[in-house]
Amino acid sequence: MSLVVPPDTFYLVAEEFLLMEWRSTNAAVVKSSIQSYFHWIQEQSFPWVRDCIPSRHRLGVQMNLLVFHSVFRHTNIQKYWEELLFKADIVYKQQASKTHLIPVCYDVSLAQDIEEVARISKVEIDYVIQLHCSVEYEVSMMGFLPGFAYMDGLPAPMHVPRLSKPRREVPAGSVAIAGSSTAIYPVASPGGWRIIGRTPLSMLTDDIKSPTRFSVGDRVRFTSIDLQEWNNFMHQ
Amino acid sequence: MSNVPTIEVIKAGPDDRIQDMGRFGYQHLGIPPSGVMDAHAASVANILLNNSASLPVIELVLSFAKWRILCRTYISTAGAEVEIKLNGKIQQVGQVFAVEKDDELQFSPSSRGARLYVAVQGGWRSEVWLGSASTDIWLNRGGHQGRRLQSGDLLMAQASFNLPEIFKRQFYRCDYLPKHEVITTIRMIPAPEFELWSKQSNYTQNNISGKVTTQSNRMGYHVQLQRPIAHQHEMQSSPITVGAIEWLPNGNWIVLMSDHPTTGGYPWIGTVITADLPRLAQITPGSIVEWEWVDIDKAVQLLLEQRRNLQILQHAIHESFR
Repeated sequence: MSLVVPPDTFYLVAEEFLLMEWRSTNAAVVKSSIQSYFHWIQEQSFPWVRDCIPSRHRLGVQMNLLVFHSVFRHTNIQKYWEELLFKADIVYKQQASKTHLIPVCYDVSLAQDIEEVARISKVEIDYVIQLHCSVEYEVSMMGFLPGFAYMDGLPAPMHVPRLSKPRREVPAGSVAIAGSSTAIYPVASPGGWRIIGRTPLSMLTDDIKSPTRFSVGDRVRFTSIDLQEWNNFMHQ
Repeated sequence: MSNVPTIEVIKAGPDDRIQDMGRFGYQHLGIPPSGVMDAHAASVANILLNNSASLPVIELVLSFAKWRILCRTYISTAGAEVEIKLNGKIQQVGQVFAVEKDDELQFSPSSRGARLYVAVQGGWRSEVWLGSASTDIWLNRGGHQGRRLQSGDLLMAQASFNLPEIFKRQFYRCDYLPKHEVITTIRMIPAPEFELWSKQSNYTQNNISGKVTTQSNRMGYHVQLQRPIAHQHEMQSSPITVGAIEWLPNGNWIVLMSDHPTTGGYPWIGTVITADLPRLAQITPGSIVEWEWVDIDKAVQLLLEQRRNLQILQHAIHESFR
């Protein structure tokens, strides 16, 4: 069973935005705590909560103050949250998470930075691909762009810094790395991560229940496809 | 309900688009809230027509838009002081007017303010994506075909019926628009990285002056401080909200606006109070702003006052319908 601890700090950073922060150096405890608090708040369906947004060390809650006051009059909203969460007895529950297998073409024509990554890491390009496909990643947070998933677990030899100057446009589907994370650009955008491949899959769906392919807690593996397979995918 | 379009866009401005109060409930997936920049003016435009305050409106930004009316209805406007001409005759911002088939409606940018909201009786018919009609031009979803309005576009009102004459007498002026002759003040409250900023900055409490640059857009306003303070603090990305002031390594600021990403990775030193977001939305690029710290209790009080004012207006309009 995973341990769940309460946040170390509550900040009311805007009239309608509460930020909770966990400072423990035990990354596993912080992760299980944030996920448990996130799911608990989502499950309550409070009418004054508009959004609950997890990240690696903080959890944000977007609220509607007028709706809150219509129920609680002049209650201090930060005190309300502190007391509510103190009493709530939030425990860890295993959440149903999806496992994805994502095809990636690592051909240099679609992977602007793969040669540079191999050079910095002092390995062959083929080994970069093998390493990237060798592990299962976990989505630790979503952000930056719609459907952009920060996936943790990149093997240590591939840890490289971001580009010192971000690119003006990174194509949609680009698979990139920075630090200990990997991610896929869902839409064309400026970006500073190093591009090592591209997937033909869309990161957005037409399903209004889950409009993005990934969500926090999902597990992801990559599999290498060649240019021929890439072209087949694109012309399906 | 008829299927006759209400207007045809003859000429569009640089960034005219359909917005409502935003797309909430999906920020944990990285989907930005979007929505109108000046929620107060957008609500007023709707309320004047006895619409629900959150119906889709058209946001015009420094726009010379020209529309042809295709069928009879009522239109109202609120926000920037734009010159509005209906068949050449000036119409007041903050008022309802009737339009007839073949009328021509012409907008010319304002002496004060940046954004004008145009509501139609029943609200503009639009594509709703994830519960909101707001246009997301990154994803091409919502609003009118997920993009800015263009010449040739046909837009339709949800409903049209006769209004009592008294409606045309209602008038509301947004009193928070920036003035040319006076420096605009924007108030803010401290955020998690305030301490980092205050330790390193030699600004005394309230003498921060900064220019909103021309790089500013619906995602964020770039603020060039009179005396920028460079830093090298490294942050982990974390959830963020509209009005958040991020401190860039070069010492200047970004203030996040409606289309902001859901997470941010720069030190978050303060947040523009929600009651001042409408004023910030009405600032034109190039303007000098004075930034003033207040506390959260003051911010809450100002926000509740502002929302209560809208409720009073809404109540008055309902009463005139009885």
